[in-house]
Amino acid sequence: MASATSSTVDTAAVGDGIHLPDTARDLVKILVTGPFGWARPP
Amino acid sequence: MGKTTLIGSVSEIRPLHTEEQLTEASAQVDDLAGVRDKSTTTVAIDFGRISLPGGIVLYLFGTPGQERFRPLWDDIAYGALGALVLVDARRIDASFDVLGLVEETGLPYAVAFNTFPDAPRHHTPEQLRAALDLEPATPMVTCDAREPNSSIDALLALVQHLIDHRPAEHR
Ligand SMILES: Nc1nc2c(ncn2[C@@H]2O[C@H](COP(=O)(O)OP(=O)(O)O)[C@@H](O)[C@H]2O)c(=O)[nH]1
Ligand SMILES: [Mg+2]
Repeated sequence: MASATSSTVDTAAVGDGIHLPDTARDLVKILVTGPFGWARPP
Repeated sequence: MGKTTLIGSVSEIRPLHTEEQLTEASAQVDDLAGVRDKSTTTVAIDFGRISLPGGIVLYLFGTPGQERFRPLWDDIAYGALGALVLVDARRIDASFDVLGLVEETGLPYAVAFNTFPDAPRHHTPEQLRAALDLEPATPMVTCDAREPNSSIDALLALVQHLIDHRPAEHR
């Protein structure tokens, strides 16, 4: 698990155990990509 | 490589990993019969989330980039602000496809080279940059996807790049 997650995000409880930041503009979708599996994990 | 590994090592929620079966028309045409046979390919998609200092929350979508999976790529890339491209320095040519897709999609990106014990050390950063034909401004870092801190550093390099190059109206 990440250690640098000491978040300063204000969260609002949504449902049971789900927390979403209250400002949508701070949500950033990022792609993590690379070549198609020429070396597949086992 | 290391998409699944990186998302798993940084995500503060249990990372999702799905395998999608795609049916694809094989690129190989049987010379004798002249028919294209269909086969299925498994494409792995990962999802995770990480909160960065400063209140930015990244939603990470891991997906391979290859031209033949274009429709899938377009769906997953929709709404993304940037891409972290994981490149294995032992197989640079394997990354040309995905870099082409990222550029066509118009996504700002950073390149992270996996650190493998047997990764070639004779390449200078300049040589790697030239081999991938990267713009001078494109961030290039090394990253051990198994290490949360190393993975976060790579994501931060991308985020800093996005901040530096955001459209003027958002400054
Ligand atoms: N040494 C090292 N091994 C890595 C790195 N990234 C991934 N691996 C290993 O490479 C294999 C494939 O990684 P995976 O994350 O499944 O690749 P994917 O196909 O891009 O999702 C796994 O056994 C990982 O432990 C890295 O940066 N350094
Ligand atoms: Mg994977």
